[in-house]
Amino acid sequence: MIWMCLEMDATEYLIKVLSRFRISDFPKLLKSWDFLSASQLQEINFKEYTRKDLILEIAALCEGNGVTLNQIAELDTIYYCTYPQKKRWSSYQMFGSKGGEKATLFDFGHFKKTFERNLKMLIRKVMVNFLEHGEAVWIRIAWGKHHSPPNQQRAAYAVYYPHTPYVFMANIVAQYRVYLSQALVVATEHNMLKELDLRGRCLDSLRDITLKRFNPALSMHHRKALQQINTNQESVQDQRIIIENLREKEDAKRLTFATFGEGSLPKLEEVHYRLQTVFKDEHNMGLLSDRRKPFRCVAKFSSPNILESLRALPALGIADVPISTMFSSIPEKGKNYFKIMDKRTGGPNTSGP
Amino acid sequence: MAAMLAWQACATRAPSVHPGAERRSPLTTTYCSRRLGAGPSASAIRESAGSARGRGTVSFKSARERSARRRVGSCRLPNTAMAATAGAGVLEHLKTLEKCAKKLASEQLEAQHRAQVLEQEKTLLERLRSKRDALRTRVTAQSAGSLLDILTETRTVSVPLLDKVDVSSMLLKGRVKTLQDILDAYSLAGVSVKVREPSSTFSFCISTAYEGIYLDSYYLDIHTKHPRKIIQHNIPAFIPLEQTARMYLQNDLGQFVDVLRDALNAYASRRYQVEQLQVHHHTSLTGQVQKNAAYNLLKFQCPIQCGDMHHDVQVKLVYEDLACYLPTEVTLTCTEDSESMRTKLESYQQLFQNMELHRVFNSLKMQQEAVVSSSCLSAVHRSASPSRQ
Repeated sequence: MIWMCLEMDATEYLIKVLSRFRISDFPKLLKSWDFLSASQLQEINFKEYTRKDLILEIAALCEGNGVTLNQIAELDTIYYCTYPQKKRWSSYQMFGSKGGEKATLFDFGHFKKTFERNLKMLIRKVMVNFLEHGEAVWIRIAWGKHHSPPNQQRAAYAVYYPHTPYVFMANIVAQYRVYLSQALVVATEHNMLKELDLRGRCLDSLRDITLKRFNPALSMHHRKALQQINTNQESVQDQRIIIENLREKEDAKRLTFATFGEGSLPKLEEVHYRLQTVFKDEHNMGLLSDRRKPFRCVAKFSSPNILESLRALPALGIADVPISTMFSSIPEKGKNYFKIMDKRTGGPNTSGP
Repeated sequence: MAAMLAWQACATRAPSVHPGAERRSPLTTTYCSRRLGAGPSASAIRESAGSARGRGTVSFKSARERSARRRVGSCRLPNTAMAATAGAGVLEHLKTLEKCAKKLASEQLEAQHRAQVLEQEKTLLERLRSKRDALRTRVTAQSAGSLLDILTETRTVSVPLLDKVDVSSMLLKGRVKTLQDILDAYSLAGVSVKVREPSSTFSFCISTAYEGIYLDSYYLDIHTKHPRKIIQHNIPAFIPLEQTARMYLQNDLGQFVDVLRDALNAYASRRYQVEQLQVHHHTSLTGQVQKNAAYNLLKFQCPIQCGDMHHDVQVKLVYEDLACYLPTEVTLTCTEDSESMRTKLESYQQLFQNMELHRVFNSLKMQQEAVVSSSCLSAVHRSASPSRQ
């Protein structure tokens, strides 16, 4: 009776969804969910109950109001809209758009209908929920098999930015990705969808990198503020302290700011280099250098915010200035999974699909 | 002491002791009171002074008073000094008059001196102006000659020797200032530029405005040396930046910025219209306005009165051109389909097509109010007329 485990009661699922919330989240998210009436929300005193009691109380209220799986799925989507960093997102780009001008007249209702209809043609048992959040359209899809209802616990999320060819997806299996891409491509009037080599946890940073957007308030005003802060610090410091190599340090700082910019950088968690180059070693008697086969290796750099840490390297003296193009091309090319091959086979920074 | 007694005597008895003084004193007293507006005490004291010192004194004092008064003009005599003993009061009075006279005289002299200086400066200004005009005509006439030669010709001893470098630097400063003024004018119109390092990268800031209200600003960093490239920007996604860049960026930077500015301003104005509608006229709409991110496809429902019934009309506004702030296509659909409804819908369609969104609702509101007031008036008239009968 394996299929019995997949079927879930609405209340059970609601409790699972609510268990993820923090105490501070409850009032905010329940209000934007807009399922419980204002009077009911006021009745619940969020500070009085323990977390477990609070969840049970809310579940009881919702059951009294007759909550459906669809509405619970909406609450789930609202939760992930608020905390997109809980999922790992991969980026995709669509090509072959027909009708350039018509693309700007995005009609959300029309898109919803077309997408759902197309997806249901491909796979019958799905539950689709849409949410418009800011500039993006959040789509939540729960997949079901022939004889089983949709599995709510393994729902996939797709975030589509209208007027751009970019989509970000999370939690999706390769098999279902085919269906999702097909439905998306038809609904948005494109020809094909391709995965980009850009993955991360911070959805906003991924969007900023793909759309080449930046936050001007932080970069332009920051410049002046930073300069003031720097001069203040220097004046506070003891006059007897002499910083050696001051000129080199200043040069290094200037060059890194020229490549990376001065404001805040988008947040990426890792950079992956897949090397397929022939091993070259001039110092150690040329060991292993006579092999003609490429030396396969993967170099992975990870950090809570990798671009910031790369920018700080020359100032600390760990990396040479000017900083290597392998690092500086991350925001330029908009990718953090690189494939590096030899000059003979291709350019040094070519990246395969 | 004698004056004191005389004063007291005067105060108790009727005024004027000496016949001569009597003849003159009423005149002087009236003159005093008219001129200075002083109280009866002043006139009494003057009278008493006159009676105590004799006619001559009175005449002298009064004459002196009169001449002093003529010179004083608006100088007010302090009544507090008068309230003291009579003799001392008179002396004080004379002293203050003297002071006033001196002050006025000095002021007059100063004014004369200032007028003189002004005259001198004016003549100097005229002289310099004529000189400048002469030089100007010479420079424009003599286009081949250099500025430096003209300056050396007209050089006087007081003017210091101008170096060639100084002249060119001053000319450069003047040119820079005119260009800076042009840039400032442009920034008020909505486009401002700043230089960033490396020096061939410029930051453009496009500030959008609608009807005199400044709305958002959008930034672009462009590398201006060929091939031109956009380094980063924060322009929203529905503006076709790549297309516009492909068409105009390499050849005509000004046209590129103009197209962007039109599109951004139109977007800002459409968004402002919807916001105004939602803030001021949310009662005339049923539900919310459905919009997309570019605010160029708007759908909402509003009740329209036809006859006595209110019908919900679904309004759909399409702004096909990104740079327009009036809709290109207006569709109104209603469940009821009667002749009157159709004419009404046509008139509404005209309204929506030709006016901005929030203005449409403003005018509709005014129309409704006019209808309501006219119906009120007619009701009042109807109720009034039977009573007349």
